[in-house]
Amino acid sequence: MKVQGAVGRTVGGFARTLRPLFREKMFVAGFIMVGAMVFIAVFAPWVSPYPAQGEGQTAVTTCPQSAAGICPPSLAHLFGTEQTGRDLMSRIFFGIRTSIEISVLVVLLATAIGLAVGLTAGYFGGVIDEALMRVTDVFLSFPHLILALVIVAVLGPGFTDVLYALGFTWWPSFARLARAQALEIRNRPYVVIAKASGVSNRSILLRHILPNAISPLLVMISVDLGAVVLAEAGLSFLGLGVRPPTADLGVIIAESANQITTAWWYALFPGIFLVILVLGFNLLGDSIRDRVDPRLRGFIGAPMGLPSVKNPLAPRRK
Amino acid sequence: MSHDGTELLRVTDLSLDYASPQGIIHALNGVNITLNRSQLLGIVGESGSGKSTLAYALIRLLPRNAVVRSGEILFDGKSILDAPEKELKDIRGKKISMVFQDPMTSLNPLFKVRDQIVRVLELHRQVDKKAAGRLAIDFLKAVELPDPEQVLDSYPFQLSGGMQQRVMIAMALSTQPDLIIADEPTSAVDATIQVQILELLSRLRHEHQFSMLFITHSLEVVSAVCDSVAVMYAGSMVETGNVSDIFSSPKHPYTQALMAAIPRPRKSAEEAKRLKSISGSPPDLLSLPPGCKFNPRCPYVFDRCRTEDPSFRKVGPGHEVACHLYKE
Repeated sequence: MKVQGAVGRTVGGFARTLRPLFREKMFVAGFIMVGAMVFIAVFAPWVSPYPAQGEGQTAVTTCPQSAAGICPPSLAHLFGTEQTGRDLMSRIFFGIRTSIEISVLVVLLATAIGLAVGLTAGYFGGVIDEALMRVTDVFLSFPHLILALVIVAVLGPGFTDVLYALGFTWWPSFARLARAQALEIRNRPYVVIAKASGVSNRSILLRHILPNAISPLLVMISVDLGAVVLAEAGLSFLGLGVRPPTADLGVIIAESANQITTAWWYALFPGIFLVILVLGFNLLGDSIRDRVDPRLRGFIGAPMGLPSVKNPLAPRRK
Repeated sequence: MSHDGTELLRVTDLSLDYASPQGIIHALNGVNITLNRSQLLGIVGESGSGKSTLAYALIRLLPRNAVVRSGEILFDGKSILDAPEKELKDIRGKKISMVFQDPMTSLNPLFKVRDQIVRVLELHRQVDKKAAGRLAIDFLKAVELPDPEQVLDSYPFQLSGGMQQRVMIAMALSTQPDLIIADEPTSAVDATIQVQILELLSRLRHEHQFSMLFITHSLEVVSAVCDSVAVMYAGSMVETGNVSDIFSSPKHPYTQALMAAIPRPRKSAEEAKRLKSISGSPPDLLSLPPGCKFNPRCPYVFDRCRTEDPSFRKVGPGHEVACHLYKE
């Protein structure tokens, strides 16, 4: 079954439509931001001044100026240190690593569940569609973060738990989009012909529906990556995200809250990197969406002069 | 396989409804057809007359809201309507294949032609990939595609509409079906390609010995390729017979009106003035008129037409008509 080939080709075609994007400032800016962050994430053990501390080792030397172990930026610690005396820059770099890992895995999980649910519902229709989409509606009726909070509260905090919590709250919008695609594609002549040729439903779903449905989902993936980074940082800020020895931007910002009046660097630097990461993903996602479907230009975050129109991709609630 | 002339398909009194929010749509109302082996039957009718519904009913590929009210479909002696889904999978594609109207959307745009033909062959003829590739080339040659190797390695968008329709015909042929249902196969291609495809189909039919149900709204197309014709109106058959009989002496007022509406070169200027159109419009399938479905538009209508649905009566050898104007 040559499914991978066809999916690969859609992804390839998608990459081709993106090439002219490099002439757009918004895309280039996003690309540089995300590129830098991904570089830092991948090479965190090499670009961090104290990789062991980034990975969670407690600091051996404490800072002489401060009893609490928090010292301001210096040549030894460019971004200063955090409350246990660990190098802040190293913690931030490893935190970016956590953010990107979780974000990518969450979106993959959400896409997988969303595709399975949405394509099945859209293709078969009827009772199956009703049942699956009402379950989707239940998930959609909770705000992402609240639902994730509930799931984390049940599973307990930790890397994999956050992954599941966010993944299981993020799939409904993917399911809706996949369903809409399947509804349209299932009536295309080549699908009808496949049915008339006695091809099994499973085979039609994998060979005809899936490869043809995937390209709008790629847009959604690129738009959602930034949102997931922010949601994960939010969970961690609330103490429901990844566990302490693992570095995390949300955790660092939460810890800095007590020292905000005395240690400006403690909240500022992780904040800056979080902004760059999320902004980068958003710029990338928006410019890719404009490129792939120019009709949507201006719908989400309408630029000045255009009337703000309801976002057609936003999950609709019944 | 060649028992020419023996009966392959018989549809008896088939009535079918679609449930819709507006009410029940009576799409088919007591349809009867018989198709013998190696016969080419044309089904003519205007849009909404139930031609396509009939085609889909034959392989039981109907929308969820379709309900068969009555009737029977016998294919090769077996009932299609009672067959389990598993048996249908063997009939669809293998014994009955279909060719559709729009060749440009009939192939999956993401796969090469080779993948698509080879899969049909693997599914229905139990051959390995290599043998399937060779067979595919044979069938592409049979539909007169130049350079079949290159066609196999093309994506659908690289082929013209006519070429794509030939590929579709090759795919339909490749499983060596007993019956090919062609649903307006020439409506979406231009006139020159249309002629080529019709000629191709007539030739293939003699070489490959299949029967064919040819659905179209064009009487000229029917006269060019078919042996016999069934004229449909509002979900019912109104007249069936040999092409020559129906064209030389149409009996049903609707068939006569259709004939009068064919544009053809005429001798005198007076004759050439205007094409005749049929007054009124086809009936609303939600509320069909009682009696003969054509009575509101019929120039020869009389009382009996408004109350009694006419049954088929013989007006010549193999020529039957459902009209009260003729004696039962």
